[in-house]
Amino acid sequence: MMTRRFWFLFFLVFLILLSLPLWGSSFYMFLVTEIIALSLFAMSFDLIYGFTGMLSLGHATFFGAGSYIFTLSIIYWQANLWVALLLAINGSAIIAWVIGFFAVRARGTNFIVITIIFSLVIFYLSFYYKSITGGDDGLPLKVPDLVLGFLSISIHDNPMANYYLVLAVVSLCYLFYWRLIVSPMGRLFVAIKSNEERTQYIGFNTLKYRLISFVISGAFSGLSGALCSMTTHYTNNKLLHWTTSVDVVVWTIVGGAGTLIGPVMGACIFTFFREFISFHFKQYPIVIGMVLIFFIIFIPQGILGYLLGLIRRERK
Amino acid sequence: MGIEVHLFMNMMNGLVWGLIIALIALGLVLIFGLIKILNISHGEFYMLGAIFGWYLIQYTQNFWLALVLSPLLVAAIGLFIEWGILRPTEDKPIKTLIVTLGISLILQYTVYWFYGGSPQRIVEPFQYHLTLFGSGYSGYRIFVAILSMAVIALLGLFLQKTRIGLWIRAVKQDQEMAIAVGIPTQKVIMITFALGSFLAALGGVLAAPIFSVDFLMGLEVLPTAFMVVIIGGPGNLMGALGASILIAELEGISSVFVSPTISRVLSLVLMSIVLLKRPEGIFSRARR
Amino acid sequence: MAECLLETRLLTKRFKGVVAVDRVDFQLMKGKLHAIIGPNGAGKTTFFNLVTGGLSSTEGHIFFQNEEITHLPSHEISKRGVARTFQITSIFRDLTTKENIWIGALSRKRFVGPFSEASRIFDLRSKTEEIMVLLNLQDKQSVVAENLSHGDQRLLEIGIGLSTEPQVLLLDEPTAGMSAEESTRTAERIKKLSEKITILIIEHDMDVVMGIADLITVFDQGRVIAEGSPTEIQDNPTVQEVYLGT
Repeated sequence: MMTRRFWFLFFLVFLILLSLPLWGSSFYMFLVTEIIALSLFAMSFDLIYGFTGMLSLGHATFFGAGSYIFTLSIIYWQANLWVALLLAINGSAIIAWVIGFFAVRARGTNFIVITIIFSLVIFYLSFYYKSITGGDDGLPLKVPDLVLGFLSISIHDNPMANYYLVLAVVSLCYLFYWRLIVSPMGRLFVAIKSNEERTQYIGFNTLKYRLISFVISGAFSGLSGALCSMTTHYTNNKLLHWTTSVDVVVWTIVGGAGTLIGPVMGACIFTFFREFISFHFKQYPIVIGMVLIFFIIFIPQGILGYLLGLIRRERK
Repeated sequence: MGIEVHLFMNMMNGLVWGLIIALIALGLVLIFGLIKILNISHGEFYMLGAIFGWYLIQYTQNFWLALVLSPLLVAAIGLFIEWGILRPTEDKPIKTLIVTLGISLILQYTVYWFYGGSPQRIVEPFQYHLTLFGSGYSGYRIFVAILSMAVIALLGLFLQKTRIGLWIRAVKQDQEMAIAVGIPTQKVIMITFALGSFLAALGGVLAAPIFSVDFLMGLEVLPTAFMVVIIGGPGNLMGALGASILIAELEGISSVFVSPTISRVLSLVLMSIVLLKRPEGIFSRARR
Repeated sequence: MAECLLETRLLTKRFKGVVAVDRVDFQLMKGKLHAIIGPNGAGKTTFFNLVTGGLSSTEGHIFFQNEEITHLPSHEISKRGVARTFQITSIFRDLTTKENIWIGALSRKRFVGPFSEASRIFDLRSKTEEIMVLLNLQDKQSVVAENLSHGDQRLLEIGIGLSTEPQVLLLDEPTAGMSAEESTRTAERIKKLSEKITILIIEHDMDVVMGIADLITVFDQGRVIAEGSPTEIQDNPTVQEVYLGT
């Protein structure tokens, strides 16, 4: 994947994104900001599913947790932007550690069930504690200014600054993920996905590494949620809902698991779809369900996987 | 005086709810035990049972008709799903699981399309109150408990005494062996799926007058049903029954003393402990 | 003075009424090429599973270099220097040949970090090269393991075991499914390996075993029924009886 063609495309896309505020309308800039933030969620899910081979159907928990921690720390503690973001990451990491501690001890199906249970229970808890979380009405939030030394940049009232902040953070995260997957630990994740039993027999405590993968994924999913709330100035418990967990699974399967970029493509496609179709067709999850079934049966490697397969065949 | 009555009421409610959950969980365990497919859309069968029940009552004003007809309709849908969608993909479990995920979405939002998003109520078919400890307790709920117990007992008899029941147990134990011995395994799988969905839907119709009917009600029972399967032991029918009552009673009793939220968390804690200490389930007879 | 590396005492495994391994006393001496033979179902693979931590024993004790390892999990036992291969090939199918061996070599590192770039770690690279050359797989280093021939996959199976730098290598039917020619070549390779590593091998192919083993233990129905040099075993009437028809 690390061919010259890839790097060229990558920089091209990055330049387009960098210049977007100059030629894009404010509506599109808002949408793209959201997509970039969601891309982080997509990549984080790919880490555990596409790379480490664990399917979680409760990832909304971390996404929503990050969003709530970010929002609540600003509302109740007047946290500044950096602190709120850091708390979101760490808080989600802790929650991922707790859930992961139990979940990784289970294999395959049981693992999935555990992620579902925790996720649904936390979702229903968010309704019971409506006074804090705002339930499905949600909580509006005033994003504090970005303070860099003596420079204070408004984020709340400045969509462009918001856009660049999100782009910067997610780009850094992408670089982190890229480094991670080419590192020994990243290769180990892939080995665990390929043959967990053999990985144990050659001397690795796979529970430990699956947990690490899960926690990293949870932490950055939380950051993604925080960035989303930062952009929309709002949070509600739909972010913790089952459909959010399913969304990220759909993006990854349709886009292409194990490629980091595939799920980002999926996030892109489905966010646009939701934005333009859902207005007319409120039952659009039916279509999502059908697309999901179609892809998992006929194109399990996803769009990107399919394209990469074509390129490989073309080379021969 | 107050707290004992309160406690007793909650215990009774817990029993009723536990039996309804048992109906759902038994269906889940049957299907999972047989074809090792975790059916995420199983909760939607419960929901469909309630929804069809609601429609039937709207048109016929007859609860009893709905009670019988609705589960049959859902069983038919279950059969169709098994035949049309799941059968072709039964090779890889993760693949099938994701397919059931898609099915879940489709079922939920198709119902949303026709039924709408607002929860509706079904009136209890008979307004009878039994006087217990100086307080009235819903006769309907007692009926639900009795009917559920009867159905579960019938299920047990069916599995133990009939030929099909024997086949189901055989395929559950060893599918290859069953094929070798000449059991029509495909038919058995179909029957089990229909049976499982029937049970869940029955639970849905019974639950409808007690709780409200809406397109997301499947998701409300799903975590509890899954917890039951984990605590009772995968593939273990008696375990599922025991775990259903256990969890429901635990939540019921504890909600007298603490908020319902905490009781939910308590069952979560129980499940986590079971996972750590006895992954094969509390009621399982297997030794490690 | 031969050192006993792996020892079991009264090792027993019971499964719901079936005794798969029955009070086995066993010793693996350093530097030897020790073979375990026996009819199907004799408990040989179960024995391997017990000794490598894949199964928990019902009774008895297992020692490695005089340390008790009876209840340790498989990754801990591997870390102490016991490597094992599988009868049914268990390689990393979607990784390349090189990556398969590389992962094994990685296991000996004390710290698996998310920072460095994997392909640049020099000592791992050279170790991987070494083993690939040893097994003559270096020409296929970039081939995805799934696409290797069966014989090469069996070699890769051994390669992964070797890459963990074990003191003891347990080979479970390494020539399974190989042609006669491949089996002979593999047997030679194993003999050569035994000059540097202590090897315990389960084998069905009598020609392979007789040709290379220093010591043979015969299992039947979970019990050790005979032990000795190849010639002693060949002449043993109990063994002949057990193998009647094989």
